[in-house]
Amino acid sequence: MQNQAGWGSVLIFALCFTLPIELVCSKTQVDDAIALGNADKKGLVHGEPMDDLAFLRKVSVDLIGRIPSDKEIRRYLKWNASERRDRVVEQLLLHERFADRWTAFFADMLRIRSGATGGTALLAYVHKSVDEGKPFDELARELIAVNGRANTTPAVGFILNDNVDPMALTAATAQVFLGVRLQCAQCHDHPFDDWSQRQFYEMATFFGKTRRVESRLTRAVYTTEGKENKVLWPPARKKPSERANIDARFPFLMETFSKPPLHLARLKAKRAKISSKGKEDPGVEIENLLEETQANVNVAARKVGPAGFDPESDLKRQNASLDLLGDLYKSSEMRSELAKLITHPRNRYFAQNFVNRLWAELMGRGFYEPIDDYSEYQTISHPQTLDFLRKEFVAVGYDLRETLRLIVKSDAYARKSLDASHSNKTRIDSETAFASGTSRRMIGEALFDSIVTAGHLEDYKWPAQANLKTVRTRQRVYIEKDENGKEVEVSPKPATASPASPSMENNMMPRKQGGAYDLEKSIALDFKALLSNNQVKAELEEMRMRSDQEIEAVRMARMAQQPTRRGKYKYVYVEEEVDDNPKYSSSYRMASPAAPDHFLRIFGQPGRDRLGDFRNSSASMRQALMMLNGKLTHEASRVGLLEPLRKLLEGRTKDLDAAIRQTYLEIFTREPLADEVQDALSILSSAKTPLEGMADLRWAMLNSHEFKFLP
Amino acid sequence: MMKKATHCSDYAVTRRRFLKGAGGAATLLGMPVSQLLAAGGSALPAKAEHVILFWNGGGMSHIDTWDPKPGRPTQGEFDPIKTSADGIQISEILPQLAKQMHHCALVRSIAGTNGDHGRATYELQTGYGQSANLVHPGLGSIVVHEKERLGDLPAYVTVSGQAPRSGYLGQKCAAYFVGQPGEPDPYLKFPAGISEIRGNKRLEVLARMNRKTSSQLGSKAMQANETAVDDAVALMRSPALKAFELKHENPKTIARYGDTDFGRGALMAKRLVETGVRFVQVNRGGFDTHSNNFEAMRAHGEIMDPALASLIEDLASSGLLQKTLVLMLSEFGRTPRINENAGRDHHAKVFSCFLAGGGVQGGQVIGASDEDGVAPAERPVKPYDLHATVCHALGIDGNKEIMTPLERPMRLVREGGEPVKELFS
Repeated sequence: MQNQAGWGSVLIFALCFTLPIELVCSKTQVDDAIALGNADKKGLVHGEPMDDLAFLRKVSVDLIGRIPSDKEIRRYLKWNASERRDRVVEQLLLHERFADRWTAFFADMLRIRSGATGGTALLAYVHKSVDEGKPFDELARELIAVNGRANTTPAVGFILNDNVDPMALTAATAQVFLGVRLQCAQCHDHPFDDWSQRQFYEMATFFGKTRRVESRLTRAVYTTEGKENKVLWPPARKKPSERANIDARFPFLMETFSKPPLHLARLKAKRAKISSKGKEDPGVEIENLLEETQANVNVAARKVGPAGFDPESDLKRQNASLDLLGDLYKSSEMRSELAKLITHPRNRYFAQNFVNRLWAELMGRGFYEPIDDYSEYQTISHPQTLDFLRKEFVAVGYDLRETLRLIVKSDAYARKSLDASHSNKTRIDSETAFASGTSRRMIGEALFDSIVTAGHLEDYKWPAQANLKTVRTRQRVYIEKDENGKEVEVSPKPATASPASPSMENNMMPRKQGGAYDLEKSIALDFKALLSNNQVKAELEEMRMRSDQEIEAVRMARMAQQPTRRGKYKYVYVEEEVDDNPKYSSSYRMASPAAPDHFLRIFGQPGRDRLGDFRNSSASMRQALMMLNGKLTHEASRVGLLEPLRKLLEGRTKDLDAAIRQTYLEIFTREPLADEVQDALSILSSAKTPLEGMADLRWAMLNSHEFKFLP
Repeated sequence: MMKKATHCSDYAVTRRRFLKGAGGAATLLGMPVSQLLAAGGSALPAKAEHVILFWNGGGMSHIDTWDPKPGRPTQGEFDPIKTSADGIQISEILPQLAKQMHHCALVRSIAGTNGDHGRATYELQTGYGQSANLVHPGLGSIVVHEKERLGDLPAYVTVSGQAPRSGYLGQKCAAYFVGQPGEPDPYLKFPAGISEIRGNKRLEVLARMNRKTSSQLGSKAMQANETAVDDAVALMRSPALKAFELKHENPKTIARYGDTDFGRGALMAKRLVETGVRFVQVNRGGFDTHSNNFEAMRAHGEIMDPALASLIEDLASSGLLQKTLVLMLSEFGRTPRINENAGRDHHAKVFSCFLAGGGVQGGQVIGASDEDGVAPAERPVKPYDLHATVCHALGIDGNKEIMTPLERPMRLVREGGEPVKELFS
């Protein structure tokens, strides 16, 4: 099957760009654009289209972050085959887990850390924004421009993340929102690109007035605007005799057009529709946004001549000198200006960066890599597709769901990877050309939640008291002197149980330092409670992962309070009986990033403490140990008394064949092949009991490639 | 030769990168003089084969430990005591260690530049400053990248806390984490209730399933997963795992080191090195003594002293000290000035570190701080000179360049890092 894209599809594709906007572009446009990019590539082989169940599995993991449940699979299969894919996509886009899963995407991109000042609130805020379908440009403007108090104004967490340092913020903003690594230009002209150090300083000037203030009384952290601009040119490093403020300038060139482009007209129409429906103003009037910032476009354009200048809007600009965002929330005038420029529909970098990240998330690789390193010298694998997607993203009003829909409904998304009968070169070439799929491992969160779903661990699967066991732990016993000077042992006070709180699952306390067998646990956050309840907010702030410095401070304070509680202690082994009947909440709701030795981190969750730190998908021995011997896999494998599968394995209703089919559906989202049923039957029959055999089968399936890698 | 140079590269490293890396290392003739000299220096026979790094997080007071200032207003509550090394005094909170000082050396003139915990920790652990878009590997990762693994155990183990990340050297150079020193790692055996026979049978079923999929698809990522499982199972089955468990140790020995996390960590470090582990990092926190510095430091002394002294004594008597570089390091020191809360604050301008073994000549002090312990007075040592020193001790070429996955050449030790060679004379 050689390159199938004939000239016909190329023509249709070309037409779609020139036809009036009312022609709703079909899903195949993504594929047509890919075909155009592959037109002169030789030896490509297209992957077979996935079957319906494989598609369901993949699209569920990608859109809601876990494999489909048994119930979801059966419902899907009942739908008419011709419409089930479209139907399930619509359902998943509205699923309650959708925002959870995509918050992880944004948190990686924006480097949100629950442990940072204002981090948990920012995480909850992004969650809410995703849930409500807030346009990405609007969210970006808030994050860049807002001022306020950490947690009370959740969006301020982004600025606080870089300690309000103009240099760090410039590098971060360019890389996160525009996909350009300006950072090198901070210290010298960019070695591989055309950015000059002066341009870096000009952009930094937008951030130069912002200050981080910490209340000495309440320890509350907030940002505000100072009078002086901290950014001075030339850089101190060059030991200049004099340093002075420079004009803030946005170094990125805006697109210019000879006639109004379709995607901007569509954006305008879309926004008009929204405001006529009486929905809240999405932030900035498109009319204003398009033209008011033309002044700044001109500023940017000045250095290269009047190419970006549009005399018509220059007139309108005089009527639009208001700070449009000023009344919505207290914001920095300069940063508002920058935010508008960054999210300007004519700033191609903004939309391009986002769709490239989105594409990489769903297709395994971006049109350029690393996904935050675009430059004129980069090789773009499929410029037509990138261009099409970025324009669509603008046209649909920077809407995440609509853009996702476009990608997951493409043929390219639903193609299988090539099997081993093809040469290595053919496979790599076809994968990089998006002619075939790539077998990619689920991200850590998806893997975790999929094990929970496959193993029925969202709820208790055993009755109370069914799993009583004695646990032996090592505890510290302090040795103190009593009033007679005799040494006595003082048992540690039982840890005070934290009060049940709406924002926490109290069976998920954060793990203490130590090698206990619970590296799969963490705090679960309730994002809604986090944003709506001040007390909860304060409580969580208190509970957030602290910095080393704070931990030290608390430790020292405790030492001061308990001068006798140090030095002398010994360890004793304590046995206690526990009802080991775990259930797990979604890993997408955990404080993130998790502790460095947590399941999620071991499976590649980034530390989010620096730019350019992406998900790591490589294999490691630690991952293997966690999956082979970890509690999560073990508990998921055991067949609980309350699981429906149980009755197929014992008693009068015993039906091993049905049990195996059910298991394959639940774990692999498919029917077993005949030889697989035979193999499974022999596993079940060679075990002590079918129950044990089923646990063995489930364990092996959960550990297998087929489970971890998407179809 | 090529193979020996890269003991733990990730699967992603391609031949093309190797060749490019090799091209970067010029021939002798093409080398600048400075590099020739450095190469000559490194050619000294290396003595160290292992490293035990005690990482004291929070910034340990140098004046109250390695660099006492008797009679000065900055002295604080502790007096100096004589040690087994002529003319070297250390703080009274370390009396047992004082008796081992003829095996040990101190550097009293580390000139740090950073008073922030995070940034200073990064610099002291990796030798580099923090920067966006690149994670520098910690010292342990560099060592296990350059020295081949010995035996079954992971080459790099961190105890009671996290080691720095392995950065561009990849996950295979990351530290193996042990939470509770002396207790077996629960992830190294089958879950409770799963017998060896049943567990092994499960592994067979899994291998069969995986072989089927990966032979069908031929995916490199899947093969890497299978290798990871094989490595994990090999470790689970290794008799060398005993080294992790202190139940095999004489209770008297545990008591001698101190039955504390630190004492157990030190004892386990010894056992691990005996089993062939290349780099052990033992972590301890609680040194950020902004208040009640002296009380806290006395308590630290009670815990650190018996452990460190016993470790040096045992390594010396078994002869392993010659091959094992023991290092105690903190991200910075603390202010000579004692604040209103009887504490000391962050102080990076000068601080000290402790070294022993691995070719280090015992009973000497390198450099000096001024009379109040404020700034270096003699022979300032840059933080990354310490990394050059460790590389030197192990015979690793710190000037070697490694290609990052994004094809950026990085030196193992930051440019300008010079080994403190007096230590080895």
